[in-house]
Amino acid sequence: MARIIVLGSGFAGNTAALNLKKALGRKHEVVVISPRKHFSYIPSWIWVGVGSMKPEKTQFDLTPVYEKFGIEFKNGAAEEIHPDSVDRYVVVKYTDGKTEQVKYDYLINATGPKLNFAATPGLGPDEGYSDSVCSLPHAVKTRDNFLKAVEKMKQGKRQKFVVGTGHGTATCQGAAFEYIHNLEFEIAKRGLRNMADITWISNEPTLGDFGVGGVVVRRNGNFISGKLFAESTFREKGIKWVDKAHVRKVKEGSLDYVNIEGKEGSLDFDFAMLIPPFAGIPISYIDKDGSDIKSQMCVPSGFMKVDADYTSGTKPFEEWKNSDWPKKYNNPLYKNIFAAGIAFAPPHPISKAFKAPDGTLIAPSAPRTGMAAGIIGHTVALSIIDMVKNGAEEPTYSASMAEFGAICITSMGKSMTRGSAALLTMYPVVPNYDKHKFGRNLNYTFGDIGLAGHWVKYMLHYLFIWKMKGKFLWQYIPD
Amino acid sequence: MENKNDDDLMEYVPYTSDSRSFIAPTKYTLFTRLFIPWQLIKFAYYNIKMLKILSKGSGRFMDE
Repeated sequence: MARIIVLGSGFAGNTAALNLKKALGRKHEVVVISPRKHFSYIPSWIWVGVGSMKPEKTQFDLTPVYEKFGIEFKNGAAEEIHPDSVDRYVVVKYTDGKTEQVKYDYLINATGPKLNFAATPGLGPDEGYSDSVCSLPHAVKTRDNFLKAVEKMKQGKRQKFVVGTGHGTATCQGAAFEYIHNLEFEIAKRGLRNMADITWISNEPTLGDFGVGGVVVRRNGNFISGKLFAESTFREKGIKWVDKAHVRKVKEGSLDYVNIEGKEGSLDFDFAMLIPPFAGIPISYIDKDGSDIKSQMCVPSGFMKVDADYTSGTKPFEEWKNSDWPKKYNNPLYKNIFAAGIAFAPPHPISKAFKAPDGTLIAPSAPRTGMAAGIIGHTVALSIIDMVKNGAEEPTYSASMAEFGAICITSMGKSMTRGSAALLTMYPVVPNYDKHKFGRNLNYTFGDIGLAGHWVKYMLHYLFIWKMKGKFLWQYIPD
Repeated sequence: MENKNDDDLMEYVPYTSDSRSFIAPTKYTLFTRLFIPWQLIKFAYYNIKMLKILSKGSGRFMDE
């Protein structure tokens, strides 16, 4: 009997756990360890952050799901991993302070990110002056602050809104892009648009980069860049923008930034929603001698090393290759430890990295969306199933971000008759300029804006929650 | 939503860096983006597009 531990219960962890248990049945144990007993549909938090969706609609309790599947659930946080011991184990710390050693044969690290607000002084809702939609409590607080600003506008007080990324290496520009459009939509819906100054600030080299090196699509007989698409939406809504920017400091009511050219500036705000950079969840890795081997297991940001070429990160953009990207997601030192979703360390960003003249790195990190996380979690599960059932010595399934595509639906307003979203598909996620002139296969790379995009986004919200609950025919819903 | 005509869509200042290259939707484009019969067709089209990219596969057996 094999025991597989999954750390985390998000897109990657939950997808892996359900698929593992379905394939391995009662003969083998699947254990999920997570400090949160809810699955959260994170893409809808941008709606929570403007008050257009109730928080409880974005999450559900995993306990009955795991009971139904026969998955053991431990509601605690993984603190240590001991990969060298004869009985390899994870140390779990529960909310009451008790700890437990849980043995494993295979381990999937799908812990997601730590929100690294500390990277920028004054960033974040807890100890800083900006809001965030990167956790549900943050999204709720953001909603409350946004609605307070709306009330002030109703009283005739003009308000300044700043939305974007709070650090030069932040990711998830797409989420911030969705948020700024939903914020504008909600303000316009209330007839208050002339009372709001809305500004976008981002670390992207150009608008529409989204941390994936931009996207070129074929439209009306022309090749159109994502830059034009993003600019078009901002011009349409009267949103100003600052790109190529690293936010140096957030203060009460203003922020300071520097851009790639070294130009310094500041923006005043009454409300700011800024995405922080991500880091790996702090977990200790202890070898048989009791030494901490985290530096061998993880990159400095704390994400776990997998089968990527990490030497490529020191090379210039022109020398990055698709083969740098991982395929099997197991750790080079311990073949039975995998990292899925945001927990794995990418070899380098997808977008070109820039530095300000003073050396400040301005480089959007590679986004790992829910779809990518689900695909990777599923692939890792398939490899482990093959190793457990058929005795495969190496992972046998692959899913490289340089080989699979992604569907991104960028909400621009939540309403079934007046709403809108930009639907963007790209194939592959990591552009391949050796193979494709514009980096991607344009037969599968597509972009459009309209009400139908919102319907798709809304449909996927319920479809994925259905899948993650493991309801009827869940396994046929794509990752 | 508040735009009444094409002139309201953006502030166009000639001979600025913004005016050298720009793209903005026309009134007709904004109308079609919310015109439900057309959007129903688009909804079907988007689903086909998504199925197409999903058919390209994700996780694969290494021998394939």
